Amino acid sequence: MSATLSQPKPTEGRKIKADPDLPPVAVVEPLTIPTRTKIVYGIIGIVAAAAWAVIAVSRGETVSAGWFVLAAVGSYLIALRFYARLIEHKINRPDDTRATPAEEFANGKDFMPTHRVVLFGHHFAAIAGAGPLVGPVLAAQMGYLPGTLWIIIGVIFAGAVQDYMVMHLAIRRRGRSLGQMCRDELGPVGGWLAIIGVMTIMVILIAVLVIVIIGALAESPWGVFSIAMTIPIALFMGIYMRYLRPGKVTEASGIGVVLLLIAIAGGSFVAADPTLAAIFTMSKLNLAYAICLYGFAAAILPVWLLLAPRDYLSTFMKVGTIAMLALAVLIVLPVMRMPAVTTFALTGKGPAFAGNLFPFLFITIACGALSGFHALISSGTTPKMIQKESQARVIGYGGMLTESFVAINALIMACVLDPHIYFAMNAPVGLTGGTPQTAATYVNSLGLVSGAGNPLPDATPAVFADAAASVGEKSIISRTGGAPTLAFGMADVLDKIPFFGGLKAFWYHFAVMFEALFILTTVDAGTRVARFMLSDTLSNIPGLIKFRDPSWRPGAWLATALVVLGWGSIVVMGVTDPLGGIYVLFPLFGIANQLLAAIALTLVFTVVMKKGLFKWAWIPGLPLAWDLFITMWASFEKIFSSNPAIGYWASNAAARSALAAGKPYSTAKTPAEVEIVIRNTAIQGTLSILYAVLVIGVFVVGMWISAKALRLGGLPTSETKGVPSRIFGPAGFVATPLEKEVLADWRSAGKDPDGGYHHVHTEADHAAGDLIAD
Amino acid sequence: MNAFATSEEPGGVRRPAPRALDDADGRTPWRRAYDGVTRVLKGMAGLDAYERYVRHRLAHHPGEPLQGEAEFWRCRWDQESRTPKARCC
Repeated sequence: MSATLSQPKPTEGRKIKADPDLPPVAVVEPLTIPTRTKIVYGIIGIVAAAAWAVIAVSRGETVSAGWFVLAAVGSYLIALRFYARLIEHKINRPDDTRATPAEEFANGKDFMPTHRVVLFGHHFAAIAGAGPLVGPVLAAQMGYLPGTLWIIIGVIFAGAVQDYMVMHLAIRRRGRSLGQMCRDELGPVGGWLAIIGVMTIMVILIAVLVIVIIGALAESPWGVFSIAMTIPIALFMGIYMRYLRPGKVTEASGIGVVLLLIAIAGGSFVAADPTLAAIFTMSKLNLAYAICLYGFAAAILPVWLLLAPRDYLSTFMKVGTIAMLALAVLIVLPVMRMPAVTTFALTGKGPAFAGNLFPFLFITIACGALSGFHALISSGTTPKMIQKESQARVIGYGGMLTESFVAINALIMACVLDPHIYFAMNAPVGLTGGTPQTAATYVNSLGLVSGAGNPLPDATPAVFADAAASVGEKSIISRTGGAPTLAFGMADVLDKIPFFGGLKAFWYHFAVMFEALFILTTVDAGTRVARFMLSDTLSNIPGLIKFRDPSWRPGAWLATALVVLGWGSIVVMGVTDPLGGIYVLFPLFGIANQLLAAIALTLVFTVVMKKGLFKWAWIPGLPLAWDLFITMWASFEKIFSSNPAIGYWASNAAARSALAAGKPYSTAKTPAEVEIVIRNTAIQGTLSILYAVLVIGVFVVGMWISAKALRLGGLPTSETKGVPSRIFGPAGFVATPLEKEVLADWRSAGKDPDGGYHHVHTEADHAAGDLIAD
Repeated sequence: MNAFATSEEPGGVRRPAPRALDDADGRTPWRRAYDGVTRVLKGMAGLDAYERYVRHRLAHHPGEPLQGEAEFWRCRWDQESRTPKARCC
């Protein structure tokens, strides 16, 4: 069946039938590009090139953020039309006469063909989280240019390629998970290394996300109140949709969203009232303990009571905030105040994270450019819902492009801030001292310059006090982790829209709250997933077979406790770290995520080699080589660098000698603090080694199999034999003329092109030809 | 309002109304845009699961018993607790 697509054929398009009694289920588009398309893409190309030229050349004081939006969107559209198409034609070769897992195993529940626009949204909501918002904000310390280049070039050649290709593999393998596919294609050793890698990496990802959110909530009664209120709101929703009005899930979600907005607004009264403010003011350490307890509870409570309602809320908040973010940039078109490249890119002494542009920028911005975690979503969930193989291009590749756009917006938000405020917020408290006076002294000592290279006038302490007051906080100094900076940037930009003015504090807390909400959702879900993986692993040990039974309560609780202990100890370690938790742990987060990407890309590369597509193996090979090179370089520096600011073990050794000499070490002033540094750097150093070894193991196995495939001219893969498809759906958002013809064929045959799988108003949409059209 | 006519049958099954081929006629462009947006939003959060389930059963297993809305969601949450799905960072 796939042969029909691989043979370069006539310039005319064709319709293909799988079942003679049904209308066509696939189309082969004509090879010639219509003139109108050529003109449209020609214009897009010129606009994108012009925007890139402005970004690359302009070094004035007023570079508008609009150029970044144009350059990004233009590049994405061209990549989706041409590079993703190349991958489609040369490697994936989707075969729409073959039923997807969603169609083949449709059960009305988890396997279910879903309208492509709805699925695009669903997939995007599952992949996008706090990651693409946090990394670019931290990377802004190097200026806007390095981050912009990596986010856009990275997503086109690495991130979106990974998501798209992994999705295609899983579609051809009944929607198997990444771990299972690794076991099938790389053998038991590669498979086990990959599964252990996934599990340990998940733990560090959860931990760092929790530290991010603690940075935003600590000492902020408004933030703590509104996020604490999500718990009773979710419990209420859970009881509502299970007992009060059973099954009325949409109603419950609507009520929940309204209550949530009231909770955010109500936070201002809490912050203004001294007694209430005292109740909801929590230190970082207490918050860490509270979130650990919460995480444990959420992972063992029934799903309907807390996790499911929170997940629904979190999706709406996510869409709302990301839409606000994009609108804010497009309406206000703020001006970049950070220079294109700062001195920190070259010296590696930036306060948000340590290290030079090469390699550390590329692990700081993971989500948004290349995120290994997406391989878990692209493999497990989406293939069970996709109608047609050919839709994976728009959903997989296009979904990742959208996340990249979110990352660009986050970068813009950080770069339009007053650089004084940016650095005061993102430097650890050991550097800023925590008060407006000390922070002003610190940022004035950085020698900050404007976009044109002129020194910025010194900041007064009042700048920081006023900034904090404007968003209803006591202090914004050393609010590390990226989330508060993004929230502040967003509030600042939204404040410039006339109608929204005066709500700055509300928008700040709206953004903080939404990030907290979906970080906590990631924590609950991640803890549950890791718990199941751990139980499964434990059950392989002789005598512990009982762990395999998920309804065995003591086993479930023990495994959950172990997982929470795993990430919880890293969280406590991070918030008590005298050097700054984000400063030392964020690189580990990036390395873990990028190494997961290396596992996914190794899998994809190996399968391409097994299929004998040697000529096109560079498509996954290029991002694999780059990702492995840059991440191993970063790991190598983190492990072996003799610079204590970068190498964990160098820092460990320096702290040890400082302790022996009875001296302070860096920002650790007391002997007890120095001991904490010694312990933490040893743990971080060990984790870096563990991740690197696991990934090298998977990579070596993959290369060994690939070499064998090259020698033999190909190897069998675990691709399953499909069944003929009996439904039809266009590949892109808007149906092509040929696809419209096929839809008309289905209509005139009196049949439903998606076999009754879709829900509302499809026929109407055909006529409308709008974005939701079938 | 709802695209589905609500009928409280024994067991609380909410059956979607039969889809007429020309049901575009009554809808203004604004109405269509609103329907499209709510449909995508509900689909993103997975709130449309029951409607999809009923459509699937009616199309592919006609005449067989259907789960009621409340029962369907209880089963779904049970299944989610057994097979948790990761959310990305």
